[in-house]
Amino acid sequence: MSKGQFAIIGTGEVPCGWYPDRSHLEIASMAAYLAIKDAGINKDDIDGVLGQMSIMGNDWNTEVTFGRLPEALGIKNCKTTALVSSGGASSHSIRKAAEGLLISGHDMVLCVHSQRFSEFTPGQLAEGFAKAGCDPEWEIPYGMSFNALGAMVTQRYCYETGTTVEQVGSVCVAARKWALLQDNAMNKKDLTLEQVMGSRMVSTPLTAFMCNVLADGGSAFIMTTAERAKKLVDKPVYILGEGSRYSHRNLTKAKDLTRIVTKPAADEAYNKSGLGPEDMDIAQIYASYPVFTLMIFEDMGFCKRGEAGKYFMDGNTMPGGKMPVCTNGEALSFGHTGTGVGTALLVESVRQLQGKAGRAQVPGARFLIEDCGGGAFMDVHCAVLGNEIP
Amino acid sequence: MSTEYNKPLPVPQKWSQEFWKGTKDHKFLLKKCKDCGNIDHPPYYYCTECMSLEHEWVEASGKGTIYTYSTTYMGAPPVFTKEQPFTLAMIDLAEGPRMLSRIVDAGPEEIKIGADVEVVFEDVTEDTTLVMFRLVK
Repeated sequence: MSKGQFAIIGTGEVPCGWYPDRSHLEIASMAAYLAIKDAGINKDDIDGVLGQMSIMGNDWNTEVTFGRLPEALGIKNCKTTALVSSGGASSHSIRKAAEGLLISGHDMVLCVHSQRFSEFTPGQLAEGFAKAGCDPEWEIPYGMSFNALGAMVTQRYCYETGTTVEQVGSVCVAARKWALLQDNAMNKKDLTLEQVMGSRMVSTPLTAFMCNVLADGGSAFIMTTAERAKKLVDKPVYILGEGSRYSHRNLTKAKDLTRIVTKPAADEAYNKSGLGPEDMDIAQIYASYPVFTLMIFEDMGFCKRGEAGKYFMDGNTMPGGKMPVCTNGEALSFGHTGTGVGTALLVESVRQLQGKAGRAQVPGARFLIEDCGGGAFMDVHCAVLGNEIP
Repeated sequence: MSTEYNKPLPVPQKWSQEFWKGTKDHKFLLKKCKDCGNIDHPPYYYCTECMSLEHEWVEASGKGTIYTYSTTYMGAPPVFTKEQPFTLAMIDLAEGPRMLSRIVDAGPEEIKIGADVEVVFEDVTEDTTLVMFRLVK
């Protein structure tokens, strides 16, 4: 991909939360409908439809594999449809798959994420996420859980950097402030640091409010070439630079638990875009646990190692702050939609750069860096996006 | 040892069966490459450094230090709920690899990063023995 070769021209999103009466297909259909209307295109201009794999929703994954989306959405000229998986499927892999189609002669690709968790009991979810995130041979027999993973990383990061648990907790407070500006966010009530610290202990040092909450949700976006995008919409959002790194399956195999692999991925994305952290108006970070927000923010070059906690605690990343972070409230407050957290952040990134972010709009936002990753923090994918090609 | 053990048991791969045979005999074995000396834990089919298929199982010292840990009070997978609170930890083994395990026989307040630990074999069923750790006092 060369700089600014591809662009996103429209996005759609459904409310995130607990909606037991809303099916996977309903989420996908609504998100796709909104994205097509937002882009202002004719649906028959779309010739590629990619569905993002959902976690635990195997029937839905099968439906996507068997070609449900183009039929249900009436994409008459569809040439290719597929299910895209991987940790970074959340915004990155699906985008790369779309780019592949565009390079190989497709005109316009619709990418759709749909996730339902409300069909499962809390026990099934706890078990599902133990199995999905943890190793069946070396971790699960010991009672491993995703929260314990996040907790162990938090413990080590605080130990190495001197960051306090309160500073880690302040990430959750900032996330909530942003979520309050988002109509589709799951959480609608303000959250104080006292509430974060005073909530029930889950896995030391993580309290309940430092752990994300699973939710139903979905979003969609439409990608095309920059050339085409310029003719179709006022403000295409260009992909200016990208960088990716894979780290591990089991977190014990990560080379450095407190840095993961963000820095090389972010540096690569900056280099390709010709921009640096000083040019960014927003950082959209897929973290799921607040410690990762701090680690990734530092490795994106916004703070020195160990200084992010204070920076967040001082309110710099909140609405109206110097450096807005996660303007949709992220998994912590917008809601954790399985593989869709990064897609939701990408969709929010596009809204911000198109000036369509409503109450959460960062005035004059031109460039931002977003990242996503997946698994047990197995990979990092950074992208620099902009509403102009510098 | 309980005959009603209802928690998940390790699901060994072909190349890790030796490890679990070892723990049953209360031996802590690691898969070491005969060509380059790399120890893979978790073990995989071939040496993840040099791709050699030639390996030997060497007995580990059972010593290590706590790299990080967390005590789970709630939210563990349902079959573990009754055991809460329990402490999971990543142990840096003297031989190099890091592994996930549990710290037993210690209160949460006694457990610290950097603490020395030693292996404890927990016979959870007749056929399966898990590797856990306790503080060296």
